Order: sequence, then C-alpha cells, then structure tokens
Amino acid sequence: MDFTGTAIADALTRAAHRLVALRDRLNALDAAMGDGDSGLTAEKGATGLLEFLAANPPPADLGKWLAQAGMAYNRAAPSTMGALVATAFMRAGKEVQGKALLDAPDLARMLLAASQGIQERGKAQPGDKTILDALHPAAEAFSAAIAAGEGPEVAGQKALEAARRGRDAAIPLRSRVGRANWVGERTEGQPDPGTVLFVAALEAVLGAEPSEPGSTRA
Amino acid sequence: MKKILNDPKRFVDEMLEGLYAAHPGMLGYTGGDLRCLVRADAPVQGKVALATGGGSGHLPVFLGYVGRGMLDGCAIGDVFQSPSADQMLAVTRQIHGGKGVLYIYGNYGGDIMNFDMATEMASMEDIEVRTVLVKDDVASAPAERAETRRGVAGMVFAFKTAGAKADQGGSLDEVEAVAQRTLANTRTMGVALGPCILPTVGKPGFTLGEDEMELGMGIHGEPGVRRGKLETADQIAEQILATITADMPLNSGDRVAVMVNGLGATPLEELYILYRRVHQLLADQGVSIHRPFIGEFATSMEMPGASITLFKLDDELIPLLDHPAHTPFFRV
Repeated sequence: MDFTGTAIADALTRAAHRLVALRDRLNALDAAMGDGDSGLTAEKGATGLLEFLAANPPPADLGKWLAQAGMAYNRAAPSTMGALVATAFMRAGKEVQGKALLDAPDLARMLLAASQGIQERGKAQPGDKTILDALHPAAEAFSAAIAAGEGPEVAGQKALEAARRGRDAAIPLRSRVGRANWVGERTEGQPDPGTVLFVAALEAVLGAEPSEPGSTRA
Repeated sequence: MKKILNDPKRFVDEMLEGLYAAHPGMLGYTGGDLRCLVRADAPVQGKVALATGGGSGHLPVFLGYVGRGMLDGCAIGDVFQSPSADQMLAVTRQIHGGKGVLYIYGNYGGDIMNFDMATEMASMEDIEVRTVLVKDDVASAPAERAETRRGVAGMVFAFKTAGAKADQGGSLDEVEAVAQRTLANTRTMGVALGPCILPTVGKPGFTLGEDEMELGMGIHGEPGVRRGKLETADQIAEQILATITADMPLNSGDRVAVMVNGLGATPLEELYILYRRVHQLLADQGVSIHRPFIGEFATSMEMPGASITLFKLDDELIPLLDHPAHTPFFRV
C-alpha cells in the first residue's frame, strides 16, 4: 500500500492541529520542570507547519518537501525543540528523497531516521526523559511489525501502543538533558512534555482517541 | 546601562544598516535579510566559499572578516545568540560558487545545532558543506578535553589562511586541511577586568571587584580558571604565555604570529604594554614573531580585558597569512 503526498500532508495537518490544541496542557506540564513555554513553542511551530502545508502542496520529491516542512516548524519556533523537530523531518525526508509515493518500509525507515537524528542532534538517548522515550520505541515497534509482514495499520497501532508505554514509563524518571536537567529530581513523577507531544501527534496521524499520560500504567 | 543606542531591540539591525551604508561595494545581504551577510560579488564562481556565523557583540568577529581573501558570507544572530539554520542556509546558497562551502565557527552548542541543520539542508540541494570548529581557548578546558574547548580570537587566523587558500584556487579538501592545521597550531587565552552588558538586558551578568581580574574568562563571560587581585601587565602576559606554551610547546627557531586582542574597553596603549612583554618572552626563547596583530579582533561588547593568541607557523602557512586580504575590518 502506497501513501501519496496528499495523504502525508493530511496526516501532518491533523498532527499540527492537535499540537495547537495541546498548548495549555504542554505549558502546564513544562512549568513543572522547565521554563513553561513548551506549549507555546509547539503551537508556534505547528502553526508554522500548517502555513507551510497550506502554501506548499506536496511536490514530486517528498523528501525535500518534508525537510522544508521541518525548517518551517523551526523558523516559526526557533528553540531546541524546534531544531529537534526540524531534524526529525529532515532525516525522515532524506530517506525518501526523490520519491512521490511512500510505502510502509519507507515509513519505517523514516521513523528510525527521525529517532536517530534527534539522538544525534540533541545528544540524548532513550531513557533521558525526552521525546525519544516515546519516538524511539514507536519507531522500533513499527519497523518490527513491518518486517514481520504486518500492514501499515497494524504496525501503526503497535507503534502507538509502544509510544504510549514509553511516555508513561518515562514519568518516574529524572530528566538528564536540556533545561529540565537543571531542576533534577523535581522532574520525577512528571510526564515529559516531549513524549506527550509525540504521542498526541501520532494519535492525530492515526486518527486515534487522545490518551492521558499515565493511562497505560497498571 | 550607558550605551549609544536608539532602541535596544534594534541594536543588531541598526548596526548592520550602518555597516552596509559604510561598505556598499564590499558587502551585501541575501534574501532581504540584513543578517545574511555576503560579499558584494558573491558567489565567486570556481572558488571554495567560506562562511562563518554566530552571535553579535564580538565585532570585528564574525562579519568583519567577509571580503576578498577571507570569508564569503556570515550569518548573524542577536547579541550572543546563534543565527538560525535558515539564515545559514540562505548565506550558503548565495555564496556557493560550485566548489563547495567550508564553515569555520566557534565551538558553541547553539551554533553547532543550527550550522549542522543548514549543512543537511544544503546537502539535499547538492551543495557540499564541510565544517571546521574553532576550539582555541586553552583556558576553557584542559588538554585531555581539548575537544570541548570554546572558540575565540584564534578563529581569525583560520579565516585568514583558509581564505587565502581558497583565493588561490585550492580545493575544498585543501582549504579544509589548511583551516584544520591552522587551528591545530593556534592557542588563545584571555583575561577580563570586568563584565559586559547586553543591550536588551541592561545590566551586567556578573561583577568583578574594583581590584579584581579573571584569567581565562570566555568571550560571553563564561567562568575562567582563576579570579584574583589585578596583577601587572607583565605578570598577566607571563601567565597567559606559560599556559599557552604548556599546551603548545615552542622551540628556539620557531616562528609565530601573535595577536594581542582587546575585548572592547581596553585602550590600545594597554595592548602594546602587554605585547611588549610577550615579545620579550618569545625572544628569550628564541621564537621569532613573523607578524604581530595588535588591536580589536574579537570583542565582548564593552568588556575590559584582552586575549593573547599564538599561531605557530611553517613554510606553507606563512605565505597564506601574508596573502592579500581586503575586508571592512582587516587588511593585509
């Protein structure tokens, strides 16, 4: 099954709208551990992305277009998170440079490349209590499902389950990188805004119901 | 805060408006963004292009070295803030003359993140970009962690030699190698006698006592290696030279370029008093000074203080240092 540029643009549009709606929630989460502006940053970035998508319908080369979409996010919200989102788009785009149609293995490689890109640019690992704690397991679960012969819908559900579990497993951890690192133990017990952001975006892409942080924990 | 200003928020842009008005034949900007500065004749076809970038507040670093024989472009951020990846990419596109682009800039996290993103975007547009990071500040980390050192005034020597190599028609590999070798042979250390003030902040970020100095302080006020009573010019020169030569040993017969750089509020007279002792110390070791550079090359707003840079030369680097260069702030 192939995904057209229009399908990708629609999915990104849904994700961006979800991030805009998430502003106050993310701000509140971030206020507990950072400087309280991550919701505002996400809203600005997502708005920049929406403007880009409205002005730039997907061309024949989806790779370059995705990279430019990431840069639009960062331009609208220059910040570490903006740079990380842009990097994720850029690396994902590089995997499919020159392509007009994407198949499920393409999507798997894009997710893994996005995770790898954020690890490199942000000098962070899964377990550091960042967006990677949701993105990385999602990318691995999606790839494993595709490799096992599942279709993109089933793989997407497995990715979402992994992302939600990763988000929730990070709640008791202590932030080890970035600004939240400064407040150390105060981050323990708090959901990480990056993981919440990624899960919400993935839920929007897949058309799933929003979930509460902590909902997968027994 | 006491500064000659109109509006603190327009500090950078009004500085740039003045700069473009003063040097219309030499400098221009691309994409309608004053902060994407390029040589007026960019792109120079068939030449490796050099770019740098970083925060404002350090003139002549960074943009002051854009011109023939040195850099082709520079992305400019707010005071002490990185420019954006977009701005770096815009500069990169405008200066690319078909032989690739070399970025030379200081080892600071925000700059690296944005330059690396620009590099990735450029590669998707088939522009080859290489990076050489400047890490010349010996006071910012010990030798075993030299990879983490910050970049300061020594970057000017890399702009100079790599720019000359590119001007002479060198390939991207060759220009990159010259920049790396220059920086491998360049060490800097500074001393601050007081703080600087960011226009939008309006007050100093730290204070130093009336009778205090801080050895090794960074050009954004990063903590140095030792804070203590203000010492004499000779004692300062001796300590800085001892630290530099412990890190980069010099032998009798070696040739060096020396830079004595004012940080913004230090009179030239004081820089020459420092240079006097540097010259004596090097002469005592049998080291000859091929060329002294005394003045303001990399500043930190109105910070009082100075830095000393030694650049160990060889037969290949000397002609590159001496090759003509013509920029608004630097001429050979």
